[in-house]
Amino acid sequence: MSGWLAILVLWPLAMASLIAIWPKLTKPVALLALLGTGLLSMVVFNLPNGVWALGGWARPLGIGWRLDEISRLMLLLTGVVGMLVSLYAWWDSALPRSFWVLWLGAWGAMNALYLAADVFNIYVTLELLGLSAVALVAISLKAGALQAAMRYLLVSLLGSMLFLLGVALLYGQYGQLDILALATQMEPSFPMLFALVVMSVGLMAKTAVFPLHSWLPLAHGRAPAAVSAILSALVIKASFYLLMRLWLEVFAPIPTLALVYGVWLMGSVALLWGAWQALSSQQLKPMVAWSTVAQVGYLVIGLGLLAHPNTPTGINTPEGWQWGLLWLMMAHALAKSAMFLAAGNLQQAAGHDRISDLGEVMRVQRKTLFAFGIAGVSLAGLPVSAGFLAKWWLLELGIFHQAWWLVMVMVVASLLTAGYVFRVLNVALNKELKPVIEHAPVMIPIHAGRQWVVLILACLGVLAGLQAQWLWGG
Amino acid sequence: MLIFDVLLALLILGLAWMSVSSRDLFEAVVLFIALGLMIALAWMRLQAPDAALAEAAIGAGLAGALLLATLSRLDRQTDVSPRRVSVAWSLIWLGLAVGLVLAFAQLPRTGEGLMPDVMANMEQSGVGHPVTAVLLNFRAWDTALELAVLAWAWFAQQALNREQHPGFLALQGHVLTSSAKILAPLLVLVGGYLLWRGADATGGAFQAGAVLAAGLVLYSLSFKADLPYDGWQGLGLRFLWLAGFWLFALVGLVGFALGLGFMGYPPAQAGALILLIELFATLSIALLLAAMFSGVSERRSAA
Repeated sequence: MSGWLAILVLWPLAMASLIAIWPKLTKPVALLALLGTGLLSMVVFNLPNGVWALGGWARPLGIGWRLDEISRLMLLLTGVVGMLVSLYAWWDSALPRSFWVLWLGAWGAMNALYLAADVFNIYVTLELLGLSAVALVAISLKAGALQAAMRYLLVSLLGSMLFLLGVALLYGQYGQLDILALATQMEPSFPMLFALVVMSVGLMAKTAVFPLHSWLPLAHGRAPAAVSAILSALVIKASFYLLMRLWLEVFAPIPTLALVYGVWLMGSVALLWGAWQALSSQQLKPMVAWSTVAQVGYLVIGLGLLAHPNTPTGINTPEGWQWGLLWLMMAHALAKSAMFLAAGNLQQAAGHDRISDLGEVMRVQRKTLFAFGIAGVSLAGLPVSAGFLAKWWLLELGIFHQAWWLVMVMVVASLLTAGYVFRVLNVALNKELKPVIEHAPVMIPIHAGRQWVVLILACLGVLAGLQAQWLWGG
Repeated sequence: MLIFDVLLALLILGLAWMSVSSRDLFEAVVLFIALGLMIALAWMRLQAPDAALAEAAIGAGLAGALLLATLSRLDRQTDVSPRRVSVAWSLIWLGLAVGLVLAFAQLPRTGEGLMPDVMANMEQSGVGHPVTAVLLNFRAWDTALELAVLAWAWFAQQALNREQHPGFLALQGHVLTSSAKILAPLLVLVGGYLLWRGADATGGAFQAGAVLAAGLVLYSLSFKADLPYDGWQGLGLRFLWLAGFWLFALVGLVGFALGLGFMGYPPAQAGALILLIELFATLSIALLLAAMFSGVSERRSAA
């Protein structure tokens, strides 16, 4: 095993510990933490695949760590987006010191989660992640943030408990916890079907899949911008990554057509309902949060398409169907972090986030406006963006399965996405539109670096779109 | 014994229901503590004394103390939320319960799980008790992360404490203070014994830490005194909150450097290293749990 793996998990936790012990060192240590963890994730991305047993105890007695294409890509995504959002947070003086302790704890937990190849160890990493994420929502001083955090805590704990029930069933059936060993032994039976269902419900609640989504717009809408970006771009991806592992690897023979249709239905309603709520939202941050509910719909539809019994390849084959789903996650993480941070810039400069009154601020913060536009293009799946490739892949697979209604829903949802993005851009670009409340715009200056971070995140989404050959196994 | 088991199971269900449905919050907490003790008894019946001890000490004891501490800071002591029985939710929970019973009933009964593997490797584990071998050696990474979970739970609580709360409940009296003087040293002794005994029998860092924490809670209740969270002593305390996790992780890194894999021990020193890790883990657990009880605010501990 490479020592880089252990360092990748321990570095953010070590820096968080330093901040907790010596609060005066917060700024320099935070910079060390974000640069170090980001660079480490790039180092680990370039390591060869492998499976290792911790403590030298052969699996399944010991806990397994594994690096494969999927976990490496998730680690890289978390590292790059995490580093950029952290830079933004570093320039945001409104965040309390506890932000860094909690966020670095969550970052370490996510790295540990992506490395783990053991269902019980994954449960422990989920606990650390969930706890830190909930507290991150609660550090906001906005009205209602505490209630939103409390709701998120209950959903998160319920999700963990359901996951643990599934772990108990897996251990009862096969007497081990190692993911790779479980995957080779899995056979359809009622206890395993039930385990898949309860674990999926738990993880879907954490991912905010419709109808288990109602906590997300509250929590992501009220948290500080950097926290919203972290939660929407990264934290819900961790539980979705586990759904992907369960459906396509551990429980691969279990998903039936009924389960697949159920998931498609949930995803479709999420797409339409989330987009509708985003369209009718009067404020920018809740709009972006509702857009996450909608985009999660694409993710679960993609999961259903891959888990469909007729889909030709499994998860670890090089043919490449599964890359589309990873691309979708990546496109959403880049676009959504850019949009939340852009919303944060605008909100802090204007002192509010009423969409109809933001025109003046957006015309001043040109980089932020431009970034919001590009991110929106990727989110809606317009050409030359990562989102376009991912959504093209979804449509292709939908047509392959001849699920025409699903294809229709996805196309309509893309139009709705374009609708709510352009509604914001229209306020900025159409000078004929007068603000609802007439007042001399008060501009609070924000650090220039924060505009650049947003722009880089948005541009990464486009650059990733130019790497198409990677997606189609070229 | 079958009758006893059935009665115990019914009692657990009954206590859980009463605790959830009670309007009086104090009553609900007391019922919850009783529930924890009955669950500890159930673990004993399942021949899992380690889990029973942990449940009694943490699930019933300290969780109960934390709930009572919370209760003392609430404005209302009764639950006034409207009671609605939702048919949909009832069906969902019923479905979950029925499904679980059916699923667990169909599991194979012969499975020994990883027990043969554990027993075959006991010689190299450095300890004589299988549960300790699993927690501190075979699956050490789980336990290290659990220590991190406990520390971060406290950091999360600190981030939420926006005002300075008085850290003490209104519990005073001559009997309390004089019994605390006798009990406090005894609790230290019991904690130390549980820690030492954990290597070869039921016991270990989590149980010992919970007992020590109970001693600290008793101390702060009786003498209206808190641990020193300021200055150099405060720095030492903050360091000890994290010492359990970091000693664990550093030993793990040394194991990696020696070619034993991350979280691996040299077999000859395994016993001594495990005892050292457990000692610091006990201190971390005790201080973290006691801090959660007192709920010292972030600003104060950062000063």
